[in-house]
Amino acid sequence: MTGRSAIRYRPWQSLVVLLLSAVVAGTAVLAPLYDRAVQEAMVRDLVSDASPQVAGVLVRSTGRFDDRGASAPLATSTLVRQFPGSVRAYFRDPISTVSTSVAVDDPKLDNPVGSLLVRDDQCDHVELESGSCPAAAGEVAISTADAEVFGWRVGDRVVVTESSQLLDPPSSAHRARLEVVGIYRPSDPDELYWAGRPPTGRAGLMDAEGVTHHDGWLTSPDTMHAGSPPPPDGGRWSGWVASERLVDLLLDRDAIGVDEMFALAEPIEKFIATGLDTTEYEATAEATSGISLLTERAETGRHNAHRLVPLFVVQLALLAALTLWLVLGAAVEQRRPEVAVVRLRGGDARSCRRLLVGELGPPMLVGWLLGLVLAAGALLVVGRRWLDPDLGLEITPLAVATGVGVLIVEGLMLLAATWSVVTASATDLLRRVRPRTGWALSMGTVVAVLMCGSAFAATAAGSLTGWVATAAPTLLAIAVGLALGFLIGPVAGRAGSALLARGRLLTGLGLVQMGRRHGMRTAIATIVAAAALLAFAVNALAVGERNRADLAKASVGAPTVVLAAGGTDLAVLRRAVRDLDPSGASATVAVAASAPAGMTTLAVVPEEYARIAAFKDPADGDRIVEALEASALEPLELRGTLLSLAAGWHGRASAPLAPGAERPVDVEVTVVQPDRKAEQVSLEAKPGKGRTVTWATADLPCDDGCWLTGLVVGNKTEAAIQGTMRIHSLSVDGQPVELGDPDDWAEGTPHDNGFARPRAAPQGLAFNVGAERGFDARLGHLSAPARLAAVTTGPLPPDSAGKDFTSVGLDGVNRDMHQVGTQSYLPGAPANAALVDLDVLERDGVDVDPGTRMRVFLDDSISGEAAVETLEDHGVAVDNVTTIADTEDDFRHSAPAWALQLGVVTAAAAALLAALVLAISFITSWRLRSADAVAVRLNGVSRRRATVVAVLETVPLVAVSVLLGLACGIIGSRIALPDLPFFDSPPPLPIEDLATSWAAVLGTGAALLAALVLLAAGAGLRLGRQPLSRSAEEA
Amino acid sequence: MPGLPITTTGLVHVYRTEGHDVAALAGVDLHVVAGQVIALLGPSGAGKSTLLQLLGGLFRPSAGRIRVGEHELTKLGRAELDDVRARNVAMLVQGGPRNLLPYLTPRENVELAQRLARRRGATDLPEAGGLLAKVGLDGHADVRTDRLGPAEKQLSAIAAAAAGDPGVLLADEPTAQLDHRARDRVLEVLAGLSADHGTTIVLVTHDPHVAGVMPRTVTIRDGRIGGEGRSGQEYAVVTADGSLPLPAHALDALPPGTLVHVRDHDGGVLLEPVTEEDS
Repeated sequence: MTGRSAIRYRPWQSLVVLLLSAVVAGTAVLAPLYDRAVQEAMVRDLVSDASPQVAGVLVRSTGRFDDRGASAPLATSTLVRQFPGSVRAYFRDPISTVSTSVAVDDPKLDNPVGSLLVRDDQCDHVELESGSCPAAAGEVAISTADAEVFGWRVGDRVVVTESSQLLDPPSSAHRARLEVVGIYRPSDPDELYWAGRPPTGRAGLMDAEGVTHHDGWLTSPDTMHAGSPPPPDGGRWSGWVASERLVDLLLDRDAIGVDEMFALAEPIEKFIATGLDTTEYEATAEATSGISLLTERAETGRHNAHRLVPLFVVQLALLAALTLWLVLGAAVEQRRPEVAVVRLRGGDARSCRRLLVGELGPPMLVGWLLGLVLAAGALLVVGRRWLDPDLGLEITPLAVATGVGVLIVEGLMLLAATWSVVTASATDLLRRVRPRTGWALSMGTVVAVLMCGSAFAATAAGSLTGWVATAAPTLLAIAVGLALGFLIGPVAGRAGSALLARGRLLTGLGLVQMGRRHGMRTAIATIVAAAALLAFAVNALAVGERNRADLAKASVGAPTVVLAAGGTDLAVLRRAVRDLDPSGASATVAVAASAPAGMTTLAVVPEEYARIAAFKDPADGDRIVEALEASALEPLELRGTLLSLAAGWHGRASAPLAPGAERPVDVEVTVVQPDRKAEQVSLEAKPGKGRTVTWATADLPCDDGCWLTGLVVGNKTEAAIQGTMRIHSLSVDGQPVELGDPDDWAEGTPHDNGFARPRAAPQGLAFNVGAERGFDARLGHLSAPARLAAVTTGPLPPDSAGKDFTSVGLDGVNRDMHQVGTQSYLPGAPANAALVDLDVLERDGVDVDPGTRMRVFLDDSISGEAAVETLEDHGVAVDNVTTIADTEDDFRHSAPAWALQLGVVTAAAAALLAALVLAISFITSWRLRSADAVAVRLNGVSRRRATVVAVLETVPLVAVSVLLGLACGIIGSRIALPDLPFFDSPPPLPIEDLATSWAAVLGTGAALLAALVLLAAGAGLRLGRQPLSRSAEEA
Repeated sequence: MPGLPITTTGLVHVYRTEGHDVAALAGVDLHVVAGQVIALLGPSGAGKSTLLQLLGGLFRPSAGRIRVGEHELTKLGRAELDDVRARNVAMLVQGGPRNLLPYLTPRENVELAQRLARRRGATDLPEAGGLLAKVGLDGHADVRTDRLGPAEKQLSAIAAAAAGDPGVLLADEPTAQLDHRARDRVLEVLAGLSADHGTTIVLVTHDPHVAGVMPRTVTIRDGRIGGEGRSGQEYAVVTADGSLPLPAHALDALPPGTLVHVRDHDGGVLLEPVTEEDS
């Protein structure tokens, strides 16, 4: 009864306590709820994005074939029986395929090879363009692609031979005649049903061995199991000998949550490791799965979620709890006279406590309940927006325990807050004016400052890590806020008195009154901590976004990147890109060749790459161009069919000519065509006098232009040669071509058996030549250098010598390279890469390895669709299109990103808390402020000046508190951020940038400062401007 | 409960403050008969409120003894003092609102006090409504206290103090800041309590009118009893150590430091100041 009356008497105070209790409970309970939701979302994404090969178990069984004959693979039921029963419910019904490989007996069609298969319920997952699904033994349905490529129709009879290494050579006993009864296409080749192995996609393809393939042929169970397809010549059918059964057990993606994912790990790993027991059977069986990869990633995600989700909410709960504690303390102090009444009437400590708890307890309890509801509501709102639109509310044991724990803590907090008052004597309680403590600190404040300060210092020194370290900003802010609250009273009071003594009325009065506002200690501590938490939350959020954006840019390489299919012809691709963007301003080619565990060579057109690639600092692109172009040389372009060159050989000694040779040396020029085909073109010699020979050639294959990249002097004697070759007057179809300076030429790849060293000559070019018997000397034009200039990232290979190193070329063979610059990373390249000029590399004249990765980088002006259309028009197949935006979005779907997004909620809640507490402090101290205002006015201070005083006593303090808090947040960020993972796994590129996001911090800090200063100024203005009588009434 | 007698012997209390000690009471010997109503008078700082609070057991004296009824307050522990305040000694501190919970009605304040008393074993307590009617608050019994006027608040406080049927009621300035009518009403109620219930009442006042209507007044001066008034007559009181505080008018004739002859005279004592010629 007393409690109810008290709550009705002071409803706003009760509401404040209720709200603060709700914030404490809500934020604390939100942590485990959101953590769980993040894990569920992460698992859901992992499982839904995983390929069927990863998100499933594949059991393979093959029969035996030996002298005794052949046996069939094991039945599905036999295989599935050994699957761990404890996790069976998490998988869909098994889908079995029995198949064998057959070759069509038709040389006109190149005897295409493909699989003959029957898969459970296959007819439900294909669309028949014509005919019917195979039902009887010997019937098959072929794909539409096969019908188009090979010309088969419904009704055709095809003879096949089982194609297996076990049947080498193939035997007629393993030939069968099959009838085409239907033509199909898969309803959806990407459907989970096919487990990533749709039967189509190979029609007409030729493999590396030159074997043509056809798509999978669907047949009836009788063909593969019990029945016998009719042999073509009526002979005895001996059955398929090399058939295998594949049983797909795919994860039921709707049934897999966090708990199920981790429950899967051990049984599946054991099942794979132990293998299937086939001792009593005439067949083998083995199981494979990628589920352990999923569970590993899930574990990493869970670990990150545990670390990051509490990051903000725990600090917010701490701040709210601190505020609640301070508000409870102030509320209990305010009730001293009422406790005195109970004491006067003979009440003991228990009665006094009952009075206080009876009033303050119910709002705290209701607030706690409200907090639980708010936590659930907040989870559903933010969770459905950020994590999963269908997110449900999952109450975990940890959330329940947290809720109960918060209730207990709040209860203990209330008891602790009432302790000093309920144990005080009646005399102490009756005192109107409590003894001023001056510089003395309450024990609680001392403990709090020491604890928080020590924890922060330990964190800064690196002694404390983990979630305590991530609370560094709040710890520092609490220590600073409490200390400021303690200091402001005596410091402001003394400073104010000193200024008043010097005649500084307004400032002095303002400071004196500032020093009297002991109730502001709560507000100061809360404002400092709230500003710190806001700065930290906003900074962490912005830094996380920035790092994700940087990694997306660095890993993708350009706003849009199109990946050409493997085996694409580079020349065709370049033509297509030029057609797409003739200017080269918006589209460029990037070709990457990688060696296992080695550097990747990324070949680009430097100017285009610098312009289009997503460099964080555009100056990096300019530096790359400068470094690569510094050593680049314009190629010697030849266009025509007849090359003429004057050359003279002066040998040191004569030696017998080699059999068939007409002269001691001959000369070849190396030309490279635009399709990178290199040719050695021999110069036809014309007779000359003595040792001087002039050569000319026909059939220069340079109608469309080519590049002269080198000269080769061949030793045609029976001994070593040494001498000087002089060349000049190069022309093509009568048009002169400048040979350039000796500096434009360099010795070709040096070797012990020949050399060619250019030197200055009065006319043309001269070079000293030496070659052992049977060897050549090579001279190379530096437009196609033997050692490529490269800008590198990461360390050079262990076998590098200074800046000289080797990295794989476009043909898969190592090339000599020279480091001309370094970057921390290159857009679109892995961490350890060498960037080279594609045009220079193409002048190698080597074939591009099919494994080379060819991409087209596009800027914002060209869409991926337009690029794909152009490429396909040129016959270039596209594997996929990636954008920075999509990649960044993928990065946002991670536990760290989801956890950091809580920073938004945290920042807003912190700001609201600060405003709430500031407003409360004004309300609770209004009487005292009014009394002071009356006293000031009665002493002759004008209303205007009294208003200034009323504003001065609060606004500077609020401003200083906010600024200190922001500083604490920024300092704390520098300590906490290095411990925060922004990605599920460490980024593969060194893009980490933890610099403070000043724009975000200062922007939100300024908003908080403005809001709180306005609130403080508004209160001051209201107090100062109200009539004296009103102030007296309110005092 | 019938009224309880109060006796103090050699009561001394010293307040210890920063820098110096202040002797608020310097040896007070006081006896109040059960059911008597007395007023403590004296200038500010004389020690009246200190004496009142000591009688209420709010703190222990520096020296001396206090007996209220059969309770030797100076020998009781905190819990026992709480018990005494719940059942035997009621206190009204200065300012009516300070004796009440502002969010409760007068009835609820009375019931709260009675709950606390019953927890201490009190029985046969007066009915709350009757008590409130007796103090004239039957029309305001269920109005929230903070909405009452000063007089109603003071009467509520008296009712709450009397709720536990105490043997002693101690009141500090019960008529302060009240107008004449309210003042008289309060005095009437206090007198009624004494008459109807035999409650011993000790009140502190600065108001000469209040002092004038009290059957007995005790003047505290400089921490000692400086005089008494009974039935309109003022008396000086010889203290235990033989000193005799003179009333103010006598001090004019015999200022401090005056040498006097003390002569027996007609069954009494005559004080003759010594002149310069005599010395």
